[in-house]
Amino acid sequence: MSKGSAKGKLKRQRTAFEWTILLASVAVIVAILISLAFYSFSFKPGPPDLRVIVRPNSAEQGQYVLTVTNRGGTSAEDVAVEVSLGDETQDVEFRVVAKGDSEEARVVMSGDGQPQARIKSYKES
Amino acid sequence: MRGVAGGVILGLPLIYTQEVWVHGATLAPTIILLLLGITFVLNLALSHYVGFEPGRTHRPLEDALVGFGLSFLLAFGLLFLLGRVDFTMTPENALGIVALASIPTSLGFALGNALAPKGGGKGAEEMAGGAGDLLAAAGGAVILSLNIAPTEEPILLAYQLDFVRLAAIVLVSLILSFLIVFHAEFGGKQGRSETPGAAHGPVVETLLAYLVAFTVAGLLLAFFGEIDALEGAGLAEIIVLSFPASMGSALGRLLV
Repeated sequence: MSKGSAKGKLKRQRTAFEWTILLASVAVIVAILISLAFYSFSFKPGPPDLRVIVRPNSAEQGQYVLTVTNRGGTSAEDVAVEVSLGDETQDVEFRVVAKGDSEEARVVMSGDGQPQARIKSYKES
Repeated sequence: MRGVAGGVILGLPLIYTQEVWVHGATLAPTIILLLLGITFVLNLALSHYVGFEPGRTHRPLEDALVGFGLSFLLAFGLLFLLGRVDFTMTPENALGIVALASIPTSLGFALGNALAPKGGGKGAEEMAGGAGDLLAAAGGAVILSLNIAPTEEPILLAYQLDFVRLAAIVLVSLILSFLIVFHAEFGGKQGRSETPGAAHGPVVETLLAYLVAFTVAGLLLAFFGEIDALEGAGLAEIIVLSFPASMGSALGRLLV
């Protein structure tokens, strides 16, 4: 193959498929960069703000749904929650509760009434 | 397709890493933006010197943009398949995980051309044939899945994924390995499709190679004491690990 034809092959016109892929890629990159820039500007730094709710699981007698929500600006790791009902106490651990997200767990308690839950410890990410 | 293959092969080990899921959701968006900026410069350089198609280094900016954009989509698809991002998460955290996972994936795109040399690897001609192919498939499967097998991730994913997702993983493993070997136009592809033999029908070879990857994944998990039976959670773990193993087996077969 001559040098000229090789160059010609390299500089060939883009096909419609290549244009489509290129435009789609640019659109994805722009959307992601705009989103990340938006989140960067609206990002409010601060410690984790953990809220814990425990409610009965209507489908299963004696089972409770534990929800931990993090409204802070930093994720929390190794979140330890204590759930108690009368003399009975259960410990639940969440690996991570990311900023702005919630995590759920199921707890089985044998007593009657409404269990109480509290955050025992966590690490800031 | 060659870029997608490179992206999957280089991106999968990190997509199977818990820390990527955690840090993607916990890192500040500014840091992720900075990491993406650095990665784009690397992509540009790799697209200039290597690229995802032989002889295609004359449009590095265009190729870096394509690799970068498609790697976001690919990383999202794989993370969604594995249930690591979903629509119940906050968009900020989901975006962080996808963006972080897309970093090695995009580098895989830019290095696609270097992953399998034209004509196969050294000594490839001595391994050609059905048994040689399956040996190469087993070798590739071990290489890609060995660094995932002893970790917690296959167990964690196996417990969290439902039957539909597991079936989808099997399907995607088969389709992607078929496309990588027979449609990615990697080096070595030409010779292998011309070689006679029962294992050289594309569909038969893909199924046999998946069986090899499945066996390798099962044996590795058994050696590490992660499974004790071929049912329920154990079977789910093998399916989860068979995905990277089948990608490794595809790469292994391209080298012979």
